[in-house]
Amino acid sequence: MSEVPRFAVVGRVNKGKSSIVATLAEDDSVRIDPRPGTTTEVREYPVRVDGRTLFALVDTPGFEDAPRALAWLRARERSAAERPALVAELVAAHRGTSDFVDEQRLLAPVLAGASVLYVVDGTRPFRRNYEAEMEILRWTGRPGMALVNRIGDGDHAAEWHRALDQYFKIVRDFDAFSVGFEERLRLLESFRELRPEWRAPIDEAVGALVGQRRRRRGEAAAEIAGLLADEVTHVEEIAAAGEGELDVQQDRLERSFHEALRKREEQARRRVEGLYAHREARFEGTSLERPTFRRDLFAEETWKLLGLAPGQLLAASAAAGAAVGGTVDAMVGGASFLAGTLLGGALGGATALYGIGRRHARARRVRGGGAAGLLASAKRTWSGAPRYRIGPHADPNFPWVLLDRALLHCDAVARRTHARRGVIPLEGGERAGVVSRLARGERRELEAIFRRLRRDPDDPPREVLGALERAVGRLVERLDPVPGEPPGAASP
Amino acid sequence: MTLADLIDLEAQLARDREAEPGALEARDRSLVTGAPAERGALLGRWLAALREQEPGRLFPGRAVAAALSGLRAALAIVGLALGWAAVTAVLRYTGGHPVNVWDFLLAFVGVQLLLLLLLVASLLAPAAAAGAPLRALFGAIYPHLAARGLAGGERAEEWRALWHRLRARRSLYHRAEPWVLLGLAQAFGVAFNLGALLGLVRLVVFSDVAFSWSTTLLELDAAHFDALVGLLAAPFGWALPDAVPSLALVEATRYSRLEGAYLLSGAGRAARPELVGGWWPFLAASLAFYGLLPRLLALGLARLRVSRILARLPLDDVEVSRLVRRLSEPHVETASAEPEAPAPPEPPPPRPAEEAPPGTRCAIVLWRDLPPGPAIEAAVRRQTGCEVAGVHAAGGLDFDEGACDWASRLDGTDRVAVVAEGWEAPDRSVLRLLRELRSAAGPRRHLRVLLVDAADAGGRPPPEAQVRVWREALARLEDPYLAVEPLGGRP
Repeated sequence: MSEVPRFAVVGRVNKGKSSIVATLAEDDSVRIDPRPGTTTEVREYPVRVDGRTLFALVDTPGFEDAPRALAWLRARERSAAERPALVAELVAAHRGTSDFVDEQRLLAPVLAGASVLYVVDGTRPFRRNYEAEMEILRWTGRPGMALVNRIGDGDHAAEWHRALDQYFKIVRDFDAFSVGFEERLRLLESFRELRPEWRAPIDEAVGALVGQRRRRRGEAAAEIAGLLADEVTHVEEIAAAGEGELDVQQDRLERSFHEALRKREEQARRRVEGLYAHREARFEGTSLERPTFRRDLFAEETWKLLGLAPGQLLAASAAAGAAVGGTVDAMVGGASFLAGTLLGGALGGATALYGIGRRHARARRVRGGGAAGLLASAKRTWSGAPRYRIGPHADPNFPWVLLDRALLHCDAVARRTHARRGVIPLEGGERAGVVSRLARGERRELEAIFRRLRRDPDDPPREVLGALERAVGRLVERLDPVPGEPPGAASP
Repeated sequence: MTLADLIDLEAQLARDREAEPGALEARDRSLVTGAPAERGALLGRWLAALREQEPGRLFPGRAVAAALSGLRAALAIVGLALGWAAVTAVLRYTGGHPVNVWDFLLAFVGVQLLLLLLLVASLLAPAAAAGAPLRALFGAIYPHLAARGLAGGERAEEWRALWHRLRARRSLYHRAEPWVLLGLAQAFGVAFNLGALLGLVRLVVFSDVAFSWSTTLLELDAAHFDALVGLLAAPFGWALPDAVPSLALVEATRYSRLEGAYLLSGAGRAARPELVGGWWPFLAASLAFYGLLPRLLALGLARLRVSRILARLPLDDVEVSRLVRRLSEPHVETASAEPEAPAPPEPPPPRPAEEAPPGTRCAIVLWRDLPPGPAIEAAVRRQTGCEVAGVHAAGGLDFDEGACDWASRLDGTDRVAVVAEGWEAPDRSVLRLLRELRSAAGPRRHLRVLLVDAADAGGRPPPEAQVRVWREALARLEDPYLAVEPLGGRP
């Protein structure tokens, strides 16, 4: 490729240029500050695909003295044909001086061939002095597009559009703080209209970004599925000389167990944030976290707000049990008169009923028959001490609460633009979570997976892990759709 | 895909579970470039590149493949020795009683046919059951082997993790398991039969062996026995006619232990050497056909099945699919490679404005096209307690900075109030204006910057954050007679 398309993001100081760059480049290292002059240098954000730069965004310092600069230009105007050269003269004449410092910096990439992305704040009224900036940009002769950003609360977009339409070929509304992935893509696609010869690299970049988003979604689903599998099957074991020692050790064991679950959840969150390129740990505590995130995983309020309601839990558990029983009925060709289904359903419901409300797991002595029992006996004989085990967490709502927290977090991360620095408000509703709104079939499928995981905590079978990842993947797809996919029927 | 590749793939997937997905994407895409290939080939290329790039990493595939080869070789050596020893024992002839053909047929044909039947039955049984006992045994001793065999704790832990992972994911590969075990068993079987055949040839060539057959059953006469051995020799008799015992041989080699002699030759009479040794071609051919050949076929089948199963693995589970997507789709980077420039330092806080005595006159300067009007003037009057002496504009589109004489405009005023919209940034041009005003007004005349939020709506005070931004920016002027306040909401 002979020339890499460049788009210089220009405009008045503090109108959201850096926010737009941060959002489009998914770079949360861009400094966004209400103080003027925080962007002091021109900084490039190349969009690279397999190491090739397809196009680049150029963040610039803002106009600070446009009316005076325009006055300088007008005083020397000879003809329209010489206007671009005159703008270059403005830059050259003041190089090395303290005059028009920011104008020199922002005009340099434009004069070097970059297209113009002129940013204004549509929440503030239009003032005539902005015409000076538009006029100077028009004098450069570069193709340009105007972006009406939203920083405050007002709405003056209409008057801005009336003014901008006279200077720019394309004018788009673009809220850098709440824009979704699809709108970002649409904006990138509109870059093609500035220079038709730039269509191919931009199309390629858009395709690659869509692929990347899909991969991120898949990785996020894998992360959440891995979290669920690890937490639902987490077991800790100790050897204690007797009941007396167990009493001493029990508290330590239970604390260590729950702490391990909390740490694993934190780890998964950081990884999901990293997936969506929110690399800085700025979310900690405030900005990203909804109130439900800040609450502890085992807090009573968390379990009230998230997970499934007791009735839903009973239904899902009974349905999952019935499905297992139904398999037995099918195997005997119906000769059991659906006894398997009924018994399985009853057992599933009873298990859920028994476990509901046990937010904290308890340590128990390892005993019982089967291979595990024999192994435990052998270990006890070997070590001379009985062994005590905590986990897997018995409450049937535990994986649901966990899934809910993970999905809400993932949703917030996926929607969050890289320009955003504020607090995301809590959504309303009786239960703030996602899973209580899932279709019955989905709940049944997930409940069956959770049960199978608990049954084989040491080495959960691959099919179960795969089924879990696929089920979570479907939920994440609905949270974070990409263009070209049909919208989820039952969006959580 | 080979078995070694498959094991390395699992080990690498287990390692990558903890790694940063972005870093994995960058690493993997650079490792495998070129046209998209079929899944197995793509993964094979990726593994080869990884082995080259990270030679210090644990790639257990080769170790496991080498261990299997070693085990196969050990089984072959043991089989050879056992076959040799077994045939030497069965064909032991010291010149007393001749070797009974029955013993050889039972040991080397009967037992082998029985084992063949069991093998076929095991293949018809559920494949997963074939290796279950071995797997259980290996599962029990593996952690101890991993812990004790590898002194480095981290490596041992990696091997342990690999075992758990392979157990969890064995449903992907379980179809290959029985064939791997079958291949090992058949390597032993082939070697055993080969050893037996070599032992037989040695005995025939380097010693004289007299064969016989005998029975207690009166009904089993020479004709019946001839029919039986004829049946056994039928599959290979057409190709090896010398390996089919004749009726004359059968009749001549019936032996009586009571008499201590061949029946036809009679007690005390010498046997005919060309007949009593004539069984060996049949025995050797039987051993080759019923022992060696089925084992060779089973070995070939096992190896073929393993390679075909591995070649046809769907490799479509979620984890591998994610890896394949990573390898085959373009890697995108959008962040800037250059670090952000350091933030400017925080300026010191400005001083608040002093109260104006009655009768003070002030000039209003409206910044950046701020619309003039009585509402603004009234608000300034209320806020400053000054009489408005004049209203001027600055910083707007039509403002001619060079032609503006602030000294004459401020003449006759005691104070200057600059009214600006708080959402406009306090940029270089406003700093320059304030410097010019200071220069025109003298060093001690009070300058007040009054900030308004929506001038069109009558002058609402701006948010505190905007006032703070202006205060911080104007503090750079280090002007003790300059104050920044919200208009209509003095702090």
